[in-house]
Amino acid sequence: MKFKILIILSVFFLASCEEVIELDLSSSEPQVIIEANLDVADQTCDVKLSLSNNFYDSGKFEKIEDAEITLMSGNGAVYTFDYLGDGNYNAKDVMAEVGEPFTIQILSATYGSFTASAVTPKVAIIDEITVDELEGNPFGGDDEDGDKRLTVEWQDIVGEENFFRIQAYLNGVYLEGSYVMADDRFGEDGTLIRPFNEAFFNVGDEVEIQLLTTNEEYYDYFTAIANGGGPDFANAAVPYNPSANFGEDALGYFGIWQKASKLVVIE
Amino acid sequence: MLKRTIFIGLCFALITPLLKAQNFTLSGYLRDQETGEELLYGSVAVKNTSDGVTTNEYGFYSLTLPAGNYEMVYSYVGYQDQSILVDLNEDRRMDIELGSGMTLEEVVVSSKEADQNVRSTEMSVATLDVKDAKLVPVLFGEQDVLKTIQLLPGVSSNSDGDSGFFVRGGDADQNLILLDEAPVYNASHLLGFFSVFNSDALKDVKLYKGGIPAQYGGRLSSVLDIRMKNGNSKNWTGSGGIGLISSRLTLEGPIQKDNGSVIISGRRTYADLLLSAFNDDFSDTELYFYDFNVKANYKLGEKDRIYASGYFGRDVFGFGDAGLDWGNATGTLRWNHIFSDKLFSNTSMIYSDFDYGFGVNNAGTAIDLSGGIDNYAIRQDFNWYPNPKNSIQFGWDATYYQFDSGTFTIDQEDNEDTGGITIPSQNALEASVYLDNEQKVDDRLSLNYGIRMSTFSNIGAYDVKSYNEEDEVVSTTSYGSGDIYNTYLNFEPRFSASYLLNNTSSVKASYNRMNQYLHLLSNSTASAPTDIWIPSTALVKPSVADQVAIGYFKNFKDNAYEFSVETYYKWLGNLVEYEDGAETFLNEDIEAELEFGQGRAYGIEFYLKKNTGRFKGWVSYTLSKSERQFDNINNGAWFSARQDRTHDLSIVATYQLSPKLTLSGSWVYYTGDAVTFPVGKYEIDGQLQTLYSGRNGDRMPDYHRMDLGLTWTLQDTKKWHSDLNFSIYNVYNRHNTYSIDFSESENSPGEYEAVQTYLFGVVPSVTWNFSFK
Repeated sequence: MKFKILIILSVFFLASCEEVIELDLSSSEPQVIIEANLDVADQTCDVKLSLSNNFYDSGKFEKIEDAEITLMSGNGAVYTFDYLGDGNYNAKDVMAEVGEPFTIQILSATYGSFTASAVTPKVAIIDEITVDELEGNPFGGDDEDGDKRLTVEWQDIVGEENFFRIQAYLNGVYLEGSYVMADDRFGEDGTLIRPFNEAFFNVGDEVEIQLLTTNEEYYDYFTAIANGGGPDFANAAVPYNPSANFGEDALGYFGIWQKASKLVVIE
Repeated sequence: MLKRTIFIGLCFALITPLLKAQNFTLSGYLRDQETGEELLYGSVAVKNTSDGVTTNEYGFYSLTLPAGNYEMVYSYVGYQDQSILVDLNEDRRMDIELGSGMTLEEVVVSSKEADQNVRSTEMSVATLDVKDAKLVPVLFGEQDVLKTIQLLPGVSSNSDGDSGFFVRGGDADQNLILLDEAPVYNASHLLGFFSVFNSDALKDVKLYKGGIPAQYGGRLSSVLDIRMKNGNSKNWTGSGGIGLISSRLTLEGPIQKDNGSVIISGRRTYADLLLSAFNDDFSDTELYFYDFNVKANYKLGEKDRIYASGYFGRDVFGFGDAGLDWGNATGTLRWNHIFSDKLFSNTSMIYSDFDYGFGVNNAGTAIDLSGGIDNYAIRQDFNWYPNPKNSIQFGWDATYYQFDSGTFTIDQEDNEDTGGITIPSQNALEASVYLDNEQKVDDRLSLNYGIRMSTFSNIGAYDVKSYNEEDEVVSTTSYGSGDIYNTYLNFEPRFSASYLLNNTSSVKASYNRMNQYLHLLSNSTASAPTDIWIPSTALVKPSVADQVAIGYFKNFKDNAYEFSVETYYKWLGNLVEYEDGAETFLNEDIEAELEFGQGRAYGIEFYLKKNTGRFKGWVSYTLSKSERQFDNINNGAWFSARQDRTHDLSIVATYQLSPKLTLSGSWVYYTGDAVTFPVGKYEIDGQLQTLYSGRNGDRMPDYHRMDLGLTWTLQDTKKWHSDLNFSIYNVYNRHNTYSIDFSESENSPGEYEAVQTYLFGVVPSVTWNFSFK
């Protein structure tokens, strides 16, 4: 990413220009998109089913409304889902133990059936959130951004590979598209420290930081999204469609996560 | 089978002349009269016969003939031929100097040298005359041999203004770029807009696209052999230029007249100084490169000569508290020794290094990232001229590599927990022996056949890991320092033949096998200094290429025009690519993130060149295809390589308006790169995501551009020459696509549009060049 900045800068010096061009793109059959999240603490599993559209299409994405969804736990429990409308499905009172595997099955008369499995991760606790002030950002930044940066500190679960995501709610509103992913690949023992660099805050902001411990498939999927999500992804040297545990038939993921959260009021 | 044929051929070649009458040898060097520079690949021929040789990479020749009187013709393109009567009744040493003092009115004599392209066994070879290359108009007026070779058939450019190139559908890392025998790992400055080669210091540039001789190895697709000047051994001279964004200066002269010389050449760009002068936002921006070429040589007698040459270049890019710098350094020590008038040898010790460093120091936090590759090599090459029908070349080389794939450190003032990660470095030894023979079977048929045996060994200390399908480490085996833990041995046969149809036309055919033990991993399209070189290992097999080519060569009008058409087919095996979504940054298990596949490239190349007269130039056209196949990419189906350019056309012309004015122009056209565009979009977590179909199924818009140049000689006396070179890059302001972004339309939110970035509009530039004697 840093290198991209470098290219952009040097390109700027060479007086490059941008312009809108007419470019015909091929179209594709609508693809099934699945977002399935099992929140262990809340004992709830939310599934959102939608379809892709053509790149130049405007308007909303079509939803899948005819799905029958079941969630099966390793100890034999079976949960069914209610349809909430707009492609959203929900199952309540889902009991998940650490290490317990789950399989989710989605059946649509129109679009076929899709299955994915995941294992319930362990819990990590946030030790501390520190606030520091940015003194000028070497990579630039938006003037509207605040200049307070939050850094999250927590204890790694020793002796195994763990996968984390940090997400934030600003004054009660979920910050969409902010993916701070962390694993213990760098071999830190014990304390893990990660700055939340996806957004900076102002004095008076009420920020809820959530530390998710996730299954590996969820982590890999969102790492891929974080590395180049959005239409900007078209500029990656090797564009591809990230996929997780639903195999090749559907895009999206089935994630199981433990949640720890802490509220910070910026002073 | 092939090895046996070569062996029998060699025995036959060596025994035959022993049965004949007494022979004597004529040998020596071919040089430039004015500067004493050796002339490489020049022609030495017996008039009106097919007997003759070309000078080697050091300007040496040797020709053994039966006793008798001969009229010898020495020739070299751009120089006047010399005919000399030789009474050969004993072994003779004759060092010949050719003059280049050709004026416009003079009729150019047709010479043996001029029809080399028809007569020699070499095919798929392009030799670039550095002097001619200087007339081709270029970006920012900065002459660049790597950009000029992109105008030749079978060679295509990386992107607009970029010095990176692809040969016959091969990848960018499949070109062996040698500067005085030292490999150059990253041949670009300023992210590719300039090459590291300063034309002022160069003597000869030769590109092998196929039929690669056995003395070269290590890359699949091409060899670019660049030789630096030795320096003027007669007088002190200098040359230089001042341009809009760069300046250069070269000084050369004798250490001792005719016995030794030295050349030193330097360049520096200063775009950042101009930038900050015009715009305060750039006052703390640094963006420049510099490089030096130095070479010295000394004759230790009639039979020995030593050379020392070196290159050092550095790019520096900084803004605020962050900076990036990278560069190459190479050094070559050489010893030419003439064992006898039939046996010439060269021994070289070679060092080459490429490294980069990235640093940020902000608010008490210092981050550093560095990496690179270096090698130490020794090689010995022998040229043996047993008789006029055979020129045998043999030798060996050994190269020790160190791969430093990356070190990352983070240092926080107020935190004692400083962290970091170092990818363990790897070591390897590549060694080879080779033998080849250029044989004139009869007046029409010439052959060149040889074999190269190459080995590659990984050397400890290193921990070798094996991985499962989830890219997880399954086992680790540790090896101590100096332990050899993996070795490859490969045989690479090389063959080419030429058959003269008549005095002006020939057909040629060639086959070569190449192995490559180094692989460049790149995840961006621009030539980035942070791309990493990795060695072949037990998991990463050596890449292999087999190429066949046939061609027809014809000269017209007393060699004023040369024409060739060549067609080739190339198989590529064990190619390496990142898998989708590979974790590329500082990953010590990078091998687990790789995919292995194959490739194929084929095409036909046309080339028509006018060599003489006031109007010179060439037209080259290539029709080609280059495809790849990886089991886990594109569902295992074949897809177009990015550099697959269906059509690639270049037209280059220079016209001497008057003795003082030369006009030049070029026009290029090629099919846009194969790329992957979106076919749809979808939503994840409320964020738009792009949907793709197959790999590289789409095309960038076609590329075309015209450049014009004018060289105006201001002064031209015996002591002083100066000229002004005006050039206009992209005359008709074509907006050639560099990249395409897709973004939400400002006018109609929710809808997306394609936005292209183009780098250059019309770019005029002027350079003042001078030379003094």
